[in-house]
Amino acid sequence: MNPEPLFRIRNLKVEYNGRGTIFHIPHLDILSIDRVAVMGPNGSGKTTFLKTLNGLLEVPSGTIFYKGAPLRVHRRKLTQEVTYVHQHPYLFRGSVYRNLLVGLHSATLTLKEKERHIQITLERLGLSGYEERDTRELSGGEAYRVALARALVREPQVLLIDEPTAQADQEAKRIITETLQQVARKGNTTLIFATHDENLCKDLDVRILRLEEFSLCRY
Amino acid sequence: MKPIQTAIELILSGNREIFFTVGTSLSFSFFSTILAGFMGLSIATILTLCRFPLRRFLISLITSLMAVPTVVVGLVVYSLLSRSGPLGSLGWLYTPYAVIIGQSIFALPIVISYLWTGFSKLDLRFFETIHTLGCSFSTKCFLTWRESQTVLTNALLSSFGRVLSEVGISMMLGGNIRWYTRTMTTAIALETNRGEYEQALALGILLLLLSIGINTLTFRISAQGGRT
Repeated sequence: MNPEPLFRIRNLKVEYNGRGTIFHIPHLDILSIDRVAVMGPNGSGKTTFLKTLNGLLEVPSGTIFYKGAPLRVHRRKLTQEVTYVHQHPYLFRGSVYRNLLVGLHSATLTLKEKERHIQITLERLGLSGYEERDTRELSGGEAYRVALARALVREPQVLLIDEPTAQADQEAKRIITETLQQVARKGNTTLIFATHDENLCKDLDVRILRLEEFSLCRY
Repeated sequence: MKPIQTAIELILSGNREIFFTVGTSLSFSFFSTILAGFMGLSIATILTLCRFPLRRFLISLITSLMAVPTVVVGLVVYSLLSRSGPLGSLGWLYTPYAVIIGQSIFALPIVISYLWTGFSKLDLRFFETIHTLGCSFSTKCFLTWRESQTVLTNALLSSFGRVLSEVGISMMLGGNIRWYTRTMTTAIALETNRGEYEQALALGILLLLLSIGINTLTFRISAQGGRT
């Protein structure tokens, strides 16, 4: 028996003023075990698509169901279970540790457990020893990995990532790819990410959603 | 030049009444700014983080209230605190309480307006991030304040400066009572009427120095905030 889709998208159409239809998804189901790469040229609506799934943008036209109910019904659940990482993420003032602690603000863990959890996550992303670093001193690639760590530390059910390797050098790319592979193997998190990186798609063995022509295929 | 020279001598000699009046002004302004700060911070945060009907109308109403003259605020509070008013039984008219309440009401729209404008200028990604991280309302408030420390300080300093230099409320609600509710501005008005220019000038010089000091501090904090 097929599992209940996590997201059911019906007739989702995004239009920008004066530019016509940006993309149109007539029918798409995303399962909880899925890994989906959203691809397309710049301006094809990849970020809009991810933000819409997270409820950061209103569903413009059509319907998106999350766990069987329309997104607007699940607003609270969405913020608890779905996390989005910006292409150019926003890090709060203060240390890397404080940023990750915000990610864990609602977790029912002791401070010691939270600290351990944060350390493990930073280690996974090659950021050991960065705990006390001021976020304003980080490079773009480091900031991205901190934002990814902040999202991962929450262990979300759905992780929406915008261009995970766009700002990364070779080493950071390897670390990010390995981390996402681990997340995918663990199987608790549905991965949906926007990317131009064909290698990342190959390494993660994803389904590819091409927005400009609406086609869905396996890599 | 003689009155200016005498005024400076009065300041340098540490004239007790002048410095008591300065102290009264500063303490009234401090408490009213703190009171307006607490209320303003809550209201501005709700206006920034929550979406509800008439929100835009409320913001424009509060912004318009910034232009209300101090005597009008004084008149409204006077009618509430006067013996025949609804709060007359408290007996607060012509006491520091009345001045502080009046000045807080006057400062409130200034604080809200400064804070709301500052909060709204935060990066859109900040608001999206606190949403996507599932932050509770209290965490969202805390993070908004942390990210806007410069805005907070500037709002409080600006409101302090405005309250310090107002005269209508202090005069109407404090009654300009010597050694009790007399502030720098009411004293300047009184001494000028009495022809005691030296005393008025001494207070004027001190008020000017304080205003310049506050503005300089505000400017430096803004500049520092812009750099970081």
